[in-house]
Amino acid sequence: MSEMGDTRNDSDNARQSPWDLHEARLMAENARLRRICDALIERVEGSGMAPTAPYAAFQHSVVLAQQVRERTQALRETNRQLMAEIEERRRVEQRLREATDKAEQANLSKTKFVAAVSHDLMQPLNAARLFTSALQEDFDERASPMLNHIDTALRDLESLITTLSDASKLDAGVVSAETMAFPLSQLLDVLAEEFRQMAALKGLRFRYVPTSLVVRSDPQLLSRIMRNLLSNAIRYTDSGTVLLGCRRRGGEVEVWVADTGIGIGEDQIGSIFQEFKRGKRAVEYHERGLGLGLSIVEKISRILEHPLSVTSRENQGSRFLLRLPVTTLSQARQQAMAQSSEEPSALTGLRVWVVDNDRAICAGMRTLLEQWGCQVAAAESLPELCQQVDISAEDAQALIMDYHLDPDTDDGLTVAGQINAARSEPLPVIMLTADREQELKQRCATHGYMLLYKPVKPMKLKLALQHVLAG
Amino acid sequence: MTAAPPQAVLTAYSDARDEQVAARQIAESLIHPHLGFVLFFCSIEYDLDRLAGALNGEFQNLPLCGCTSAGEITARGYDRNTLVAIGFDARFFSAGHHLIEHMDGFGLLDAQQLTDGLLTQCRERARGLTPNEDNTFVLTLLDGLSVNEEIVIATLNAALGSIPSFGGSAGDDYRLAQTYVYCDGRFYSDAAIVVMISTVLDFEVFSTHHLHPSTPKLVVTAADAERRVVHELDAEPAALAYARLVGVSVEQLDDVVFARYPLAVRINDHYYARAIQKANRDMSLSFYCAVENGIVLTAMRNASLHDNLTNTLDDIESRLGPPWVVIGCDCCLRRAELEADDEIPQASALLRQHRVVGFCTYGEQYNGMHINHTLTGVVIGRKESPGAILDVSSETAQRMDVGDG
Repeated sequence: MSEMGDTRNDSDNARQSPWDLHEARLMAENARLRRICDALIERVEGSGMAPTAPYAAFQHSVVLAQQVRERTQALRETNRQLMAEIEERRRVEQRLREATDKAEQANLSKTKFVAAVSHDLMQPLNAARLFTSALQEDFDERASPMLNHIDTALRDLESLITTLSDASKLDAGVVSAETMAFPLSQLLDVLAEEFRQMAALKGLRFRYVPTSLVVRSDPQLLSRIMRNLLSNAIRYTDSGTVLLGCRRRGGEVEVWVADTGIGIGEDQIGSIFQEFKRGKRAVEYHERGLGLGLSIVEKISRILEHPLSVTSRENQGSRFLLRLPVTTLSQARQQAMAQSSEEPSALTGLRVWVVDNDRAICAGMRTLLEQWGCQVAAAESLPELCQQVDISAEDAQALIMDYHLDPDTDDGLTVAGQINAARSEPLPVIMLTADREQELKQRCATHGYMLLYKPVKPMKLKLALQHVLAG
Repeated sequence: MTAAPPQAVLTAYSDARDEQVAARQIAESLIHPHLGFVLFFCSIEYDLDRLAGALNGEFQNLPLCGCTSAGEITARGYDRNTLVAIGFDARFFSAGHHLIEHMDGFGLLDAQQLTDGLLTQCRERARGLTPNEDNTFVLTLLDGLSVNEEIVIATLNAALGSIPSFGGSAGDDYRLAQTYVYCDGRFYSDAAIVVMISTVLDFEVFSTHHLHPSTPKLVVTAADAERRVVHELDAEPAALAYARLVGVSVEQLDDVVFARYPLAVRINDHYYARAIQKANRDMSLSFYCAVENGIVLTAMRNASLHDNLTNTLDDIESRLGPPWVVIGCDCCLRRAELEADDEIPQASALLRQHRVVGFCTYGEQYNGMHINHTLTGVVIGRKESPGAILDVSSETAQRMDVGDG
């Protein structure tokens, strides 16, 4: 080894001068440093090679482990952040859920409130309409236009309340379809007659294309749709025609309501079924509207599962199209239909008993029924009725019963049951209510009572009485 | 005993000098109907053939692995001339093991086959538990004088992927003659044992030391990498340069000095101790780990071993809760340092407190690295990972019926 040689040189030259000694020492140090350098150079140059030697394998493992540790650290950090984000989202979701719950709660109480308010408003309105109806048949020519105005105003008010009440019930999800098979014309003929008159008042032509097809639907809900569509058509048409038509398409029938009115702009056609959305020009035409009509139509059509579509062009008109499933009538039902349509409309001499805890309605009923030639016994309660007639023995043809009697007393169904229980021959019952609960509907059906919703329109009442007589 | 809740891990030790007695004492403490696997460490003082026979007789067909040591860690703390063992309950653990008979020539293909085999064993013994990096760790026991540890460990780690691994190199009480590993009924040298353990319990593999870098550095200028011998440091005879650095004469170089004044290599920002085994007559230094020409050795200062150990284990236990057991591979030089400083009683108390059981090593392994001057091991917590219930194999279930009857 070379440094051994250096050491020997050192001792050999021990007697040399201090300068020489110093130089020798520097040279030795120089050689040592060079050797350190060489080792380091060897190491640096060899460091890039594959880890086949033990130390290189160790170093390689260390570098790997360090990388793994760093990456694990980074992953852990990322993971922690993600967990924090997830937690944050969960919290936001929780808050949203709470807000939704609150909103739903508020919505529910709003719905209840609207239902209660509309129910309470209906009672006096019902009375007022019965009175105006009676007056119209009584008064002379001069008073007639004013009465018509009163009647129109009341009808508008009624329609607003009904709309509100319907909308809140649809929102609350308490409305369900009671479908049955019936000839479509049975419903549309009446509507056509009604709206033909309204159209005539505005100087519009009204075309009606009837059909003999039988459909499966809920007549009441379907009627609601058609009324909305038809009154819209007339309301938003200044001149031209309103068409109510039917056309068979395979297993379905299309019911059209078309008009030549203001139409709907392309930009608005997508939102006309939304609540409180009204066309720009619709507002000019009907300032009192709530913008609920078409949203109700759309919601009911969905409950009925009758697809609804609309096409429209601004200033040219709109066409609403409802598709209903076609079906056939059972034998029994056909006969019943035939009978009822043949029945004469005269009610003269009919003995009718009325029980309604609302004095005004009692009075209104009496006036109206007497005008039709009926003999009326009207009472606010069962005891009062018993004072007027002998409920067990006296002859009568119909009992008109209010469902909601005074609080803490029996309801109309019970009272009607008590009256009929006393009689050898039960009376046909027409139950009146503003309550559209499904349960009541079913209870009336099981008792075989006819159910009419308040406010009762004179025409409907008349038809009901006729139906009762025929049955 | 039968009414007590199941002990996921049982430990036992014996200081009996007779192999039969020691084996019987261990077996009496560990054997129960659910015992699935036994790990042991023993002093080189025992007659290893007799011990192997005794253990075979006591444990019959139970899987059993172990190695010789440079001192044991028992329920008493630092111990000597004992047999110490850990029994794993099959309801909580599923273990597989494999012997590498020739450490040189162990290649990546071998490592891959070995890993696959261990995973299969673990899966088969634990129905309902699929071994993965979250529920499985690997323990390696290597011949501590084979000079092949680095290559074997690095190769094995490549095949293990992200399954954590740790282990220790077998010792022979500083005789530096021959170390042994045990499995399947006999002791082997120049061999390694790889144990894979899957568990439903929480665990954490760790490695810790108490060394900090100081300023002086030495460059290896002549080394025999094959034999882990450094001839020269800074182009001077290695023992001379090292003795001058630490301020002692060459004659005074011994384990205590090596323990108190460790050297380490720096890789990136971290220091890894390279423990000196002995000073040779030719002024060279033998190491317990790989060295090479041109590496730079940094002089290290020792901080408090006690504080470091307390912090490390407290930290892990704050996550896992109190442990069933800590399996520890503790560098023999740490013990040398504690003995020189008269701190064995305190350290033993600390080890007992943390339920550490293990042995004093000629080197530790941690995730593919062969390192020195550390305590490396696994903490096994009492908490089961959610939803993981280990199905007892039918074999164990039958044994359980017998035991209960």
